[in-house]
Amino acid sequence: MKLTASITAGGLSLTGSGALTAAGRARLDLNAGAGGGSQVATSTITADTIASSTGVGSGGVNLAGTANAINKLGAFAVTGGDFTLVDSSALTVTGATSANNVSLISTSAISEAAGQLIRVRRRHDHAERQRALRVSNPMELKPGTGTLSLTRHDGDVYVDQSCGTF
Amino acid sequence: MALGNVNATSGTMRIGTGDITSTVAQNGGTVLNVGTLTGNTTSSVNLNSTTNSIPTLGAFAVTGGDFTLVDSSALTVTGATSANNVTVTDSFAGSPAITVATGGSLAGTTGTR
Repeated sequence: MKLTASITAGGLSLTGSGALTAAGRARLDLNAGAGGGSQVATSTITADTIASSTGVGSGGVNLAGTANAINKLGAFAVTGGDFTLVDSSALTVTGATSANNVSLISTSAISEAAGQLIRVRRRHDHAERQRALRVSNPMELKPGTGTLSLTRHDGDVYVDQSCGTF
Repeated sequence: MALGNVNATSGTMRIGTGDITSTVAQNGGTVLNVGTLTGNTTSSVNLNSTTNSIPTLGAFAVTGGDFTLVDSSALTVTGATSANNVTVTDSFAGSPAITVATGGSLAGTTGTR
């Protein structure tokens, strides 16, 4: 499923009990301009993968549905805004996600796919950007319960900037 | 089925009641200017005119095909829309351009993209 709002100003909004469902292997491709994408806690997104093929503008992305069931976070670029995803499923980061601030809030596990990096640093490296979860400001990875595990696969886990709590 | 210009700015345009088996598309250069769009088909629906003005998308079931809608107005989804693949593109230069409201849903049922 692909939803695209105007690349200049448009935004996407899920209100009330509105729902987006991408069944089976389908992915949900969200794209918007400066209006960004928002979701109230009572609405729901169900998808194997959520990603953005053309990105989202400065309005940022706030997918706050507490019943969201999303298995994978693919490539998702937010330019000039924040990215927040609330999820109730085990979430695997499978693509590069970038935003001013990134918050992944899950009541289940959050993991990174093999070969992916979760990286917080300020140095720009295009090659690394292709495979990294990259932010230029503070990032929050927040499991609802349990602990956050950053596990080395083929690559490394780097935290190059100082963190308030880690 | 190829659609021409439709003007029903305060009304509802319904495309099929489950009885349309051929692809529904728009003739080039035509516009759907309708208050609410609903439908039920057994084949793909491709409403891709960039000047379509459809403020409300109600229930629209596409069985065995895809649903594609291009719109230029602020669009609110108020009914259940489902198809193999659902693609909605809205050029409205305000925000939100696309709202999925209570009772509204967009569902790709068997799609792979």
